[in-house]
Amino acid sequence: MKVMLNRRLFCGFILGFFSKYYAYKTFADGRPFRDRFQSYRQTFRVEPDKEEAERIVKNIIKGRKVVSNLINIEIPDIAEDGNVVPVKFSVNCSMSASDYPKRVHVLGLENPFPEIAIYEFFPEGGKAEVSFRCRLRKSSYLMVIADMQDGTVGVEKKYVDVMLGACS
Amino acid sequence: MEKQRKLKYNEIVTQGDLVKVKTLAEHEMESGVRRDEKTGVIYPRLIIYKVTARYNGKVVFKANWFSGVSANPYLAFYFRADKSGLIEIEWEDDYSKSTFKRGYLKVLDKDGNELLPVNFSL
Repeated sequence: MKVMLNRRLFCGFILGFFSKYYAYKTFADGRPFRDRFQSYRQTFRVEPDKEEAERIVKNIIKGRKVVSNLINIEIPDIAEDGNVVPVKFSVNCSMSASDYPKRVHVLGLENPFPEIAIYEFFPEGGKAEVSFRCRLRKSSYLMVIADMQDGTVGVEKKYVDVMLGACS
Repeated sequence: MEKQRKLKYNEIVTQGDLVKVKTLAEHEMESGVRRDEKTGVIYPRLIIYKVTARYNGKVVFKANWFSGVSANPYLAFYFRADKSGLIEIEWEDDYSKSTFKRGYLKVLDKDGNELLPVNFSL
């Protein structure tokens, strides 16, 4: 049987190729860029979803090797106001070109949108330490995941008691 | 009214020192989860989603934020400076509306001479 590459077939191939890419972007489960669609999705789901958080964490780690004692986090054990929870973390590494955190993810595991922040570092940084303030819906774990240059991952989490929850 | 953007750091450092940069942006950071009490309509999300720090035009630090960051976000980070130059912080809104804050950092060597970012001789 002779297969002709006619116009219909050609267009079909191209469409198929792009539809895969499109589906990957649209039905992203647990990938951080799903946040682009957040403003549409939230009309349907505002409640926290534990499975979603686990999926996000799994997608960040991707079965890589987890190193212990890589991250120090300083968070108060009891936060009075969930709207303003001071978070400070640092990554133990020499900020050389082969040993620095490419990305550090901060996740509130029981927030409606678990991803809180992603910090990107560069070898010019000198020191991988950041302090900022986040929102927490209720007393839950706050997780920090460092994605190192050499492919290893550091995970650290801490339970924070929140007296007055934020509506985040 | 203009929303405030603040940038603070030690303006004169010696070579090889870490520079701690503290920034503060005045912003509501509407998380997109809150509802109007009477009508039940959700307030649309409006946050600062990206903060970029550049030193002499080179990106030194970057923050991608989601709805979990508090209102009036404070951010402190470090970088190392070899030569004096321009610190530039850019806050980018959900509507890609960006605001800048700039500052000059003076780096001195051990003798107290300034290390300029450009090498030229007169």
